[in-house]
Amino acid sequence: MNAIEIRNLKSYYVVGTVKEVKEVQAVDDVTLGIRKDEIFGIAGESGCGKTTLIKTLTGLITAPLTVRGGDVTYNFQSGPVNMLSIDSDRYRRKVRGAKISYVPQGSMSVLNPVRRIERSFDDFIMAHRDLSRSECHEMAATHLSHLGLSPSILRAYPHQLSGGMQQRVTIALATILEPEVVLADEPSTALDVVMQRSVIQLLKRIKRDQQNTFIMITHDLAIHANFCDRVAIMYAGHIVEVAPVRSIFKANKHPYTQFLIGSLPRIGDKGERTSAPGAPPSLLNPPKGCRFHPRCPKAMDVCRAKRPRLVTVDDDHQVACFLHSEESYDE
Amino acid sequence: MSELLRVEDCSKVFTIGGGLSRQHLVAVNKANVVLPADKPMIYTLAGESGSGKSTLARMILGVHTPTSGTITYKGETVHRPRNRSEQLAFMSQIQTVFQNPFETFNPLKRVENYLFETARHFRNAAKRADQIECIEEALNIVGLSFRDVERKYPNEFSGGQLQRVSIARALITKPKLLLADEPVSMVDASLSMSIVNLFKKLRDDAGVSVVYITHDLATAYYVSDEVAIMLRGNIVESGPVEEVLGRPRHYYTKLLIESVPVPDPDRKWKEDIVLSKREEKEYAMTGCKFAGRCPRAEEVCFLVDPELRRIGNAHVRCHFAEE
Amino acid sequence: MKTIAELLRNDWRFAFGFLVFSLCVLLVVLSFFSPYAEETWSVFQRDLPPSMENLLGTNSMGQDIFWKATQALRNSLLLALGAAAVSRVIAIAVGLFAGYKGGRIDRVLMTMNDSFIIIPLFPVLILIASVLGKQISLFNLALVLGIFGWAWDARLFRSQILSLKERPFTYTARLSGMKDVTIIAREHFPFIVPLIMAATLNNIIWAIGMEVTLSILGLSSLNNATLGTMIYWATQYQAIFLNLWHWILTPIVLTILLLLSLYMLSVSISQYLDPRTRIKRITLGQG
Repeated sequence: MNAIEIRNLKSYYVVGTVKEVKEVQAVDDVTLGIRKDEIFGIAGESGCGKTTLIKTLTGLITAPLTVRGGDVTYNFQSGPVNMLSIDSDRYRRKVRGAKISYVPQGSMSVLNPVRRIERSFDDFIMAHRDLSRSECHEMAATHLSHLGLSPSILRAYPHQLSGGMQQRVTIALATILEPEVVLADEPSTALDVVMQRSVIQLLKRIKRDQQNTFIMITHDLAIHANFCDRVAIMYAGHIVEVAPVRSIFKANKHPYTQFLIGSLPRIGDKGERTSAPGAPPSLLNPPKGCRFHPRCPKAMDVCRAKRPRLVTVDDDHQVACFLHSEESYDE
Repeated sequence: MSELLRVEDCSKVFTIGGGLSRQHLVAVNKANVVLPADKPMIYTLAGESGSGKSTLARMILGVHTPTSGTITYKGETVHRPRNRSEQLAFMSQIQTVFQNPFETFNPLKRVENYLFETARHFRNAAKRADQIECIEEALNIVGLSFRDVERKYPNEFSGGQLQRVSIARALITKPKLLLADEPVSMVDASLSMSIVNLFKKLRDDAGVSVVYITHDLATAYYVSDEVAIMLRGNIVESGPVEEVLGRPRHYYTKLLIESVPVPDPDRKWKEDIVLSKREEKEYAMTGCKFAGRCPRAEEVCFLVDPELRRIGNAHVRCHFAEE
Repeated sequence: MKTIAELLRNDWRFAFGFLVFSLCVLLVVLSFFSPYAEETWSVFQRDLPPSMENLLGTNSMGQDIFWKATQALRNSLLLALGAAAVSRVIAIAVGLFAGYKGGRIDRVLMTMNDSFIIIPLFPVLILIASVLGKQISLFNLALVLGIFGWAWDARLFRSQILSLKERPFTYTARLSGMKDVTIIAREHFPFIVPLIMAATLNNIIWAIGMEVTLSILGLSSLNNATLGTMIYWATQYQAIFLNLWHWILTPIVLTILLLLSLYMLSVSISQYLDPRTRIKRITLGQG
């Protein structure tokens, strides 16, 4: 049984000015199964919908974000929970801290700037467990040393630490209650290369110790290569390919994935690189049929008319492309 | 006059605060860059944020005045008072492409305004038809046409397209030197390569030299001829890119290259690295800025600023680096 | 014209503000046709309730309240407009000059500015009022309010300019060969003008409020009819205790309506002109 089942999820943004109201189809009919204990990566560029997806997965659904359909089920050890049907905001928050942990983009701001770090830890722990303040301190100190961070950090204020250090502290905070699922949204973007490496190392260590299920969202495919087990490629609100990380890099099937991987430069290789022509579509008015067809060098007539279904074409390898299957969604 | 650009021992010190609590921030420390005039080249300033690369670029552009040292363009000092026509003549030679294309243009104005203004001021085109001709020429180089940009506002373009328009605007003046400040960091990975390729094309076809600023070493390797690695205001290593990134000698360069993630699941990072607690204090330290983290550091590194030495084809600022 | 119609249709605040303010303007226009002069007393019998002849009754000085109210509205508004005009000119001059020139000029101007900000307005106005004594006229009052009302906004304009100076598109404009003056006029003004308009409306609201406050305290030109002086005289004559509701309520209700409508207008106009919403409108226009 999968740790998380996402079925036909539709998450749109409802936007408007004084005059009119439109819908941005940020996550459009997404179905994914995430296995227990795996590190699952979601890759895609800006505007593809991955941040919306993760917000929906964690239940952070506030206007203008609206769920228009589908469901998200977590199969915790204590039983299945449908994230979207939880009415009470309070219960959602309980689940969010203890069972699911969300590390958002730019998460240094999670730390209260006028309190010492240990207070943020205490507040968080005490919201979910019945412990005294000194027990919380102890828990935090042990957790930090396990992760190779000095417990003396706890006495500091956030602004006394560098950006990278703040990020690592935030990750430690997010994982102190040993959540079953950790969702990280661009945890290492905006950090320098060396700091980025240490953040990813930290995540690897946590995974080793706590055996959680990880969902990692980033546009940086090199991070996926270094960290994830399976990767899903997202384009314009749809999932276009899902496969083990090696297959994504060495045996990819979707033309967009091929462009993505093929355009990555690497040190030591001066060979010519090319980009996909055109630009990602606006999600206010996405193209009919396969959303990639305007830019696809292999587009056929059927691509313009129908949307290809995400099907398994190889061992554990799913693609949504008419080059590999004839199944489509009924429009 | 065989040099296009020469930056010689150039430093920039900012004074923050005033009165009793004055602090000196050395943003750039004795930088040296030489670009030849006969061979167009892409010279990359690589480094993390805060390394001083943007400050150095702004000094070349003339925005900041160096605290010490000189910058000369075609033998002429960059920082000297100029009247309007001299200023225009200078600006036509050196142009800039900024990092965020949506900030490059005023969101409330049509993009074509800037194109027309540039054509009018720099290409002696008084009539609209002539101006459109200059604009069309520049847009074609970047793969666009005037029809694509006519009457549009910045937010009607995607990031990649708008960045191309920004480059086209810079090309209208037919510059000899282009400063590109992280030109693709805000553009999606799948689109950025075509823009990076544009710079190569400019070098090869149009004879334009480019000072390319980035933190992404992989792109730096791909596009540059020469590269300078900057750390906290110092150029710690510079030289031909194959040598600096292929056979790094400075310990910071080695650390950077090891830490760049390779997009290949078969080549993951090897061991864990250890970070020092002194990262934050590096700015204020005397001596080598990397000494706190360097595996090879000795006491002299903390006290004495290393000199620039030549090793192989590269220049390295280190007491102990060797072949 | 089209935008006004659009705003009327879609933004209830604008519609409310526009309607009520138009009503006030109508009343102001009417005031010029008032058959009774402002200062004359005892035209009618005193303290009459509303009737066909005196729409809102009469006050204890024998004046028709309705016509008095129109004159009061006119004077208050004119005073506020005058004060706003004076303070705008100073605020724009100081703010723009300090922002663009920077350096020493900036420091000098800002020191002056800050001195004006910290001046405790009330005691000073009371002082001036008592010194001027009988010579207080609406004109003087407008001038005084104008001279003391520019400091906050000057700083606001200056900080907007400081940020605009550093925006990359300013550099782009310069690299495109545009002259500095052109850059200010064409690139920066679209950002500054909405700010000025919003600040002006706020200033008008503030001036009306100040006038009413001063008048209630008796520190104004009491022989002129303004919203504040009407309230003053009404309280002086114990209108509440004498059940002369029509007298005390008229200026109060009018003041509230005037201020509310101006506020609504200010909020909806500044939202409409805000660069961020303008960009949003441009985006959605393309879909």
